[in-house]
Amino acid sequence: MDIEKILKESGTSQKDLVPLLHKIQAAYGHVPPESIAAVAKHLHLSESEVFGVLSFNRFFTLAPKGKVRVTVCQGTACHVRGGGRIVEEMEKKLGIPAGQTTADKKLSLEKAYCLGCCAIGPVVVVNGTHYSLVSPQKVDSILEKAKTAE
Amino acid sequence: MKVTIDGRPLEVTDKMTILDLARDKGIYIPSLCHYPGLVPFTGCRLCLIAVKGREALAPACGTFIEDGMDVTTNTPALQKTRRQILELILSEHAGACLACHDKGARLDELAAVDEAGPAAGRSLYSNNGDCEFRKLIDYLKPDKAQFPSLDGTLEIRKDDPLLDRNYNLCVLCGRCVRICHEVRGVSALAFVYRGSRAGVGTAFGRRLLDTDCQFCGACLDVCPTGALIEKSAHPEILPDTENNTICSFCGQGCELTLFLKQGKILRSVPAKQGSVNQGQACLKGRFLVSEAVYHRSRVVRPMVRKNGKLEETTWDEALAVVAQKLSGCPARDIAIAGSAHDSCEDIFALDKFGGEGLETENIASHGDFTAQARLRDFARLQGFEPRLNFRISDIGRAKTIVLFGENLAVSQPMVWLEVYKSIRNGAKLIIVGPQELCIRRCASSWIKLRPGQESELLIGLSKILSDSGHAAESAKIDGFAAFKNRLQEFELSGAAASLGLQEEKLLKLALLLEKRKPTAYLFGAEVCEGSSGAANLAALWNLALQTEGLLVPLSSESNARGAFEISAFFRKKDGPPGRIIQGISNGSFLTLYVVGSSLRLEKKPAAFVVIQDSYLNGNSDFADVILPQTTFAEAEGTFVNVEGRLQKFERVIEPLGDSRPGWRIISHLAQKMGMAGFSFRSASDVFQELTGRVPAFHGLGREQLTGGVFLREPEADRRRFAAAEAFAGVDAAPSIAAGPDVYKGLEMSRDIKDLRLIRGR
Repeated sequence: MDIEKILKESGTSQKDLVPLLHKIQAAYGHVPPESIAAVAKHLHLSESEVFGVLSFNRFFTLAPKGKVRVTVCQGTACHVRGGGRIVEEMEKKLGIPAGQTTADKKLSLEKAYCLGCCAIGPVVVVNGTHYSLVSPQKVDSILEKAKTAE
Repeated sequence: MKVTIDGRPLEVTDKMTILDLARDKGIYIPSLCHYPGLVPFTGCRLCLIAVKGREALAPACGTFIEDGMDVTTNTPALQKTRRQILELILSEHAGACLACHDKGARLDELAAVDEAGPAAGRSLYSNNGDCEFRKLIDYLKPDKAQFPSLDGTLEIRKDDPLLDRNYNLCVLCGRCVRICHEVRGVSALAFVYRGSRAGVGTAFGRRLLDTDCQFCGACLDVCPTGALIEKSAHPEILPDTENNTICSFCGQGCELTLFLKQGKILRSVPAKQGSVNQGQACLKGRFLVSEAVYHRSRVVRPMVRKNGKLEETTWDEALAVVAQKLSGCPARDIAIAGSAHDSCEDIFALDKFGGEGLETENIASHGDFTAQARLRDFARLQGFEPRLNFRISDIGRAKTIVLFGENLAVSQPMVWLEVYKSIRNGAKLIIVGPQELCIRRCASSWIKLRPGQESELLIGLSKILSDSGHAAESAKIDGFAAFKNRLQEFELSGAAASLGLQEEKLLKLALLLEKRKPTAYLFGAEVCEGSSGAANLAALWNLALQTEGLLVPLSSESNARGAFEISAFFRKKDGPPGRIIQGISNGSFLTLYVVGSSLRLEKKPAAFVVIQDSYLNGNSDFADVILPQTTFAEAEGTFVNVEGRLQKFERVIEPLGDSRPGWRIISHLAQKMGMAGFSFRSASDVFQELTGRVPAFHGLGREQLTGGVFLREPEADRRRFAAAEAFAGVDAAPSIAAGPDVYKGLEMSRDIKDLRLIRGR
């Protein structure tokens, strides 16, 4: 889908910024840096303002992400239940720090801060599939399944 | 409303915040993020105060007074809370700043300051050593850095012209972000990232030169730390004197404060109390005053051409040569091109010299070609008296603003601030013109036209309004019936097609003007000149009548209006000044006296050419004599700004070299030629005669001039629709205005590196 088409379907006021960035990220997997100028122009904002919102919001990313997105919750509940160790384990197994994508561009590892299902933490989400009560021992099998995830 | 602050009973009538009231009454409450004129931010929390009956502390800057409030601003508990907040802020600030306030810092501490130097940048001081943040440290006296320090890891940005950014010293008060957004309408800076990475920056960390930044310096002036610092500032070189003047780089009439050291201009900032600019300026007034005054092309000694070469000489010799040539030349063969950058005193002396001394009719200047001059010419031919005076703040009352072609942010920065303010208050801006301007972002629409098509658009809008029975009030205005009749012949669909617009768009636009009254129409000289100029003016005039419109004719030189009023007084016949300019370029005169840069000469235009200017430039090649004139910083006098506001300015520095103010040069020359009536000893002498003679200045005294006083205008008549007949008599000569970035003989955008970079984007 091209940017122009997404812009055409969006409103043109400042309040449309976040929904618009969501749409662009949904279409491309990331917000292409070169789209910022067009977004700014469409919403009568400056590029710095658009960049400010984009860089504040953890969900948006300017760099392309892998097809598989592994998100490890670091919210308070998951944190006290050992979410930190899960991330460390993932980083070790994948050989990349959280926030980055593997060299083959297939898989991205991300941290989230509360996914709203604290009772079943620590939680890991792989492309929309939730894994509950994750322990470091389960990391291998989750990553194995992640490789075949769509 | 009755309130109590620290036990003091106070009476308040206006809605105001606790902080504003306290400041008004001389009660000190520390604050950091607050800045007058910006929307309360309540970010820094240093102004926390206690309100009786409220559990939580409240920020004084964002809490409005309510009846019966009992406020405490200074208790040990409050001070402790504030101190803690300051310590948190300090944890992200260069550690050296803690020692910075301490004059008795021990040597090892000072060594630590030195070590922190590279991280903190070459200056820990805010501009002029006046660091607001340090004052807070002095007041709240934190003992030590209470929290682990995070400072000193960011690269100092030195890749922009004019200012550096050292975010290691940034305290995230957001003043720069907010002034850039709320007041200047640029938003080049924004808050970026979050958490401990949060900071102020641009998209992708670009340099400011790669954003829409206008380099107005507003961010620099509000920064309470040394995070934003002027490249030319140096912590060791502090000014010893400051003096105010009126900026002469364009027609806005901003008041500037010039900082001097040993009689030399170091830098300039906008005066907070300036009646036009209220603490704002633009790139030129903020950064380029000393550049322009001390520019390498300044000419400071009289010069006479001998054996084909210009050679420095004495005033006596130079004036003798000019006097001899002028005396031997018939008046009809002499032409004078004046400068609208000169003071009223300079212009009066020159025009009197030409008109009464030499008795020549051939005098013209930029001032004769502005939108104001054209509007008055046009209206008088129609038998009306138009109003030329306006207040920039009047534009703020308009709900719809139609702007023709000008990039206001560059050419009329203070008018732009008012337009932007009204946009923020809900007004709609419509830009009409061939080019997409950077301020387009703030406009609700842009009507793309070719120059010369304006009247078609305007008449089309008038027709829609009159046909649909809208603007019914205007039907009572004289001349409406005839106007309506003429509109019958106008083909809307044809006009829409030739403009390349949908008829529907025209309808919508007309409806906007009708629904959102009053309106304002801002236009410069380009709209009023050439073959379509008179028709454009007539169409503007009529549409303004239909839509309760304010006509705002704009001019860019610092004294265009003054030059126009004075030259109109001395012009005996109502001859169009276009003829004179045409004559000069055709070489019809024997002797030419050119002041400033009013004309760009491409060949020698007359047998004998005198140039009176502050700079040498391409014109100098054709000069037989050059008479060095002071710049505005070296003289006193008065300017009339774009509004019609007469303001006086004082001399700030001694004249460079042998240069002299224009009125003095002319007086000496006139005396040398044996003319009476030129025994002026000071600019006030000239001003006194000026106000006694030129009607627009009648009775205006210099003592009235603080804050400016408006020129006198003839009573505006009952308004009437313009008829089509009298267009033929309007002078259609193209404008000779030099553009917004020219000051006298100096083409700032070509000759000053920083401006070249910025305008050249």
